Amino acid sequence: MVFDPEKQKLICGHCGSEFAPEEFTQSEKEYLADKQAESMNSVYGSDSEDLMDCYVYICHSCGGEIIINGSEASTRCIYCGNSNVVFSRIAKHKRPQFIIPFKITKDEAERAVRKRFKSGIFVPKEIKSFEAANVRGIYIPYWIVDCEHKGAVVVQGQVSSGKHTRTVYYGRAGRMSIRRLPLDASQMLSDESSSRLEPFNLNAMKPFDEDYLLGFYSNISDVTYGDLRSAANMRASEYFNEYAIADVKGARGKKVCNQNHVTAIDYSKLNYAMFPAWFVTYYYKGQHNTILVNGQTGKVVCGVPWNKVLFFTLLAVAGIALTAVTFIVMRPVLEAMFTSSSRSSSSSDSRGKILAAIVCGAIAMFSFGIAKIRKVIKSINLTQDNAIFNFVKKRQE
Amino acid sequence: MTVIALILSIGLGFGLACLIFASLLSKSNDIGNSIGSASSYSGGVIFDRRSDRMKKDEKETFALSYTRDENYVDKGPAPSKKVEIQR
Repeated sequence: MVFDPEKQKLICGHCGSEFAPEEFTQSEKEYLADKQAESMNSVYGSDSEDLMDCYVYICHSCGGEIIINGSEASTRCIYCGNSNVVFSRIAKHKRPQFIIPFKITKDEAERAVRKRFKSGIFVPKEIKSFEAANVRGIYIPYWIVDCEHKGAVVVQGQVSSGKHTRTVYYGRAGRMSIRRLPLDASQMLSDESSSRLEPFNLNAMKPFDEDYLLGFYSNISDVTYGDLRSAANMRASEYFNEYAIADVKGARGKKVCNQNHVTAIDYSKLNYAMFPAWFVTYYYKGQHNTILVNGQTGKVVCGVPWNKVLFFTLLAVAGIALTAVTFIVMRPVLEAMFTSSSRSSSSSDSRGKILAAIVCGAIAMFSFGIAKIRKVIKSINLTQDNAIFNFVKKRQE
Repeated sequence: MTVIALILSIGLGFGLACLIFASLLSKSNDIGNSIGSASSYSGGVIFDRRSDRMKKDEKETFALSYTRDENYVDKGPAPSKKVEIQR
């Protein structure tokens, strides 16, 4: 029995019968809730540190041993291929309240990735026609948080008055309410990657039912209150700073230079939910790469290895062309400025200022350009992080 | 003059090329680089203290003074929730 995202129903692998998840009987789930995943060290009487996070679960269908980690809530049996939900892990206290069922099928996820890759100028040809090593549908645990945020920031900005530019500091302090902020509750998955999967349509959340997990992998929450508080504080602070910067008018080059934030989570409104994502893994030049696809909206998230030869060749050509154009324009201007007959002190003063402005502009343009390239490369590398690969890898096929 | 013009042209030309190609690379290979926007989760900030053109010493103390408020201490969750979140 697996959940079909297209039909939004459970499909029996043997007879093809279709059921709505809510029609499925509760009695078997109650029986299975008592089946625990046991520590591998205790099952085999070992004391290995490598097996600390390994658990043995017995397949409901064939009785084979399935190896899972400490936070997996559903997986597939390596022997018979059947879906297994570790009911004991989501029963009682750890049971999520809501779930967003998969809406995007595996094929649709792959198609979305290929379509996105095709439009990339610097995506290597081999990647455009990649063969997925595996495509896994995983429910990621999330905490949905309401919180009150209080912040005070000092925004630094540049203000021009006449010929002079000076740095001015603006103070902004206030409070902000945040509603239904989803925060990833898996330690194995980085917050940077999971937050990029947003937005999820939270209005489409359904009351949690284990049957939605059939056919997919899933994890339960393994974060602490400290993790949750710092994640909420980080996101709320980012949002507060955005608003504070936008509130400062009449300055440019604005940035926050001093800040203090306090976030209070409303625990009475804390909700635990599972959100769907496809993880597509492929290999390029012997390195693994993982693409994330939002299982509800189809949003593709990944940093793709780039064709460095093409990039730097085009960059050099464009750089030379733009340099030539600038040179053609600038040379006569500079010559006219410095060979003109006027020798008065005021005109030589203004020439000096123009030259200084051009020099500053050239230095600023060059450093901004380099900084921007470095920032983009850093962002691309972020989603090629090993943590994402490990999150996907450590699962039964 | 030619040398100065050339040096400045290289700075401006390659700088502009870097900016353009960084944007192209971002569009092409940094896919889905966005998070949920502030307006999706919040109705905005109610600013109850604004100070424009602050003095240098004021900017050091401004951020600290405002958030010293006992009402904003995170008292932690109810005991029932505590069981739910921790392994």
